[in-house]
Amino acid sequence: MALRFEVLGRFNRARAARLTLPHFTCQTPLFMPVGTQGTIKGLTTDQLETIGCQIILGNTYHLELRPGSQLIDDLGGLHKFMNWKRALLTDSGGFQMVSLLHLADITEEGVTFQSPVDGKPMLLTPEESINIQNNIGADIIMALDDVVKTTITGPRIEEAMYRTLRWIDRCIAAHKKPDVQNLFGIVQGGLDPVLRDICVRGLVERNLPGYAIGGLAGGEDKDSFWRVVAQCTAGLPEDKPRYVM
Amino acid sequence: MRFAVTKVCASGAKARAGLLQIGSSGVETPALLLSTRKGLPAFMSPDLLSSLPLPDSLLLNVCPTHFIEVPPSKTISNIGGLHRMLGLPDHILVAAAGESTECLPSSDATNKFGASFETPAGRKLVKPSDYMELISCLQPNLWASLADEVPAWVNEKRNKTSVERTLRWLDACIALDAASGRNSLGVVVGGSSIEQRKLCATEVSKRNVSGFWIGGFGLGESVEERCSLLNAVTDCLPLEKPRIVSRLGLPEEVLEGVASGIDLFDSTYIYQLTMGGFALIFPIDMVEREMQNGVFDSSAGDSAKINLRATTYRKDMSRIVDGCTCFTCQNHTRAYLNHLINVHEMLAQILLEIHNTHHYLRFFRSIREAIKAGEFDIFWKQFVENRRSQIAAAAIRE
Repeated sequence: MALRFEVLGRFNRARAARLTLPHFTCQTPLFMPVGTQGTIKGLTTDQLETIGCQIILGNTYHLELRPGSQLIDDLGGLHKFMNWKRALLTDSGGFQMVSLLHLADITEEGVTFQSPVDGKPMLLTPEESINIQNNIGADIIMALDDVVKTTITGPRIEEAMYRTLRWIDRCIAAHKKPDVQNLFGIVQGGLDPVLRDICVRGLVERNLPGYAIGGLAGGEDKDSFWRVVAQCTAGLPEDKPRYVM
Repeated sequence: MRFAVTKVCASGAKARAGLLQIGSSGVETPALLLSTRKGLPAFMSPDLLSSLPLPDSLLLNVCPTHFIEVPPSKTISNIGGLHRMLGLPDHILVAAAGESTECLPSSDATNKFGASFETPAGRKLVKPSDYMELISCLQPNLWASLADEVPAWVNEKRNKTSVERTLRWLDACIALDAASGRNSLGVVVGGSSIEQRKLCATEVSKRNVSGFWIGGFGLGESVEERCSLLNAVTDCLPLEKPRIVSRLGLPEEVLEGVASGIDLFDSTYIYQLTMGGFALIFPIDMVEREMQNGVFDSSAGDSAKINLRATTYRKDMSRIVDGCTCFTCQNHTRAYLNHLINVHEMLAQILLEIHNTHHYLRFFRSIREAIKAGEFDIFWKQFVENRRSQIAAAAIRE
């Protein structure tokens, strides 16, 4: 674990906390701007600090495409590359694959997709996702999960939830820098409370530094959304950060 | 507005240093007017603008025709003028009707009623009354009169007409001005005709203007003719009033302009460099030039600028210019800029505009130092020779 999380105040279930990450100590709840390609659109790092930005998200898919995670690692990591002194989080790359690319297909191995560069079939596995994120060097990295939209129904949701649990073990095994990068697991299970409960328990068992609630904000109504979030947070440990994606 | 020549070059040379004072702001000349779009540099927000060297970066060129439709001039007037709308009370705004990127003079469509411009809102005919209404709403510190700028290839008759119109419109603008021309800059045109240039310059000098805006260059004349035309103009202008020239932006053009007695330069050079992904690297002063001799990497650019789009910079962790004190060089590397340019992120243009502006303002500063030290001739000669030897050395290496 490469973070410290201290709850400083509460109101009902809401909490104000201090999240100490390798590069920065954040105050939560916080909003994390998306800096897709290693920059927040149109803002300098100075301006971001002045605004009070504590942590930025980088897109693993985009950064691996350009300039490449190996290049970023060679040059000292994303913090150094973009000269951002505060905290960084990278996502797993899975979501962009599924939403951006043609012929994306999810199997037990990983996500197969058509390379946007030359059209060849490529495969993103949990191991590869973690490897790329290790290269980029963010304070928080996200597990590769099998994410399905809440608007679909049927056995696919259950399949995705169990696969997410199998993949978290592969992510944990592949993670080379647990002392400086925090791997967060992502709760899946669609809108089904039973599936969500199984997933929460499974992830909590793995004793991860933090947890995210995924698979939401993809078309379901707000009532369903908050019900799932409330159920998940009820089952997640009090003393660890929660990230709604 | 007050302008005074503070130092003239010896031995018949016409280069001069001066001081332009407007309100509480004073700027030394020769100086650069930063080009703007709707009042601000293309990519820098006001907070970034204020981190540029001062007072050099107080001088902004604004184009009233950028405001022809949006926002309505009445709105700007209600706010209290352009300075207030932009939130730049101390800046010196110098207005001129046409410019090189968004409001190009459309001399074919210009007629006896007004000047035509290709604007983002389409082709617009601007009459002196329209122009002066914009001026009175914007309230710039200085404004150039409405002119008929024509390219170098028009026939004699058209060229003559452009001079007549420009003078007529100058008088019309002054008549419509509440301050009777106190902050006006009379525009001198005349195309490629030495005779017309001299005529126009002489006539404009007779009017009650605060300075002169020399237009019609950068529109197709050759480099050789430009020099003699420019000198013909400045020879006819009074010494004690400031001279601005537009569309001369390359370092060599600036030096030639300074040598002809020009005090202020309005150009979109920085904007064009930035849009092309270029960063200025040429050595600023004579000491730097000595050091650079023989040590130069000519890949992906030339001795004046580098194209950061090139793959050679993918892993280049060095600054654009070592020792440059601009925000970009203090915080970022060539590798990062290369990445930003290649993924089409707007931060690329922001960072490049900051560096290029900073670098170019330093260039102007070194010109002023050279004039004040009585060394402008040497400075100029050395700059040109250094450039030639860099280009020659690069050619040999190929």
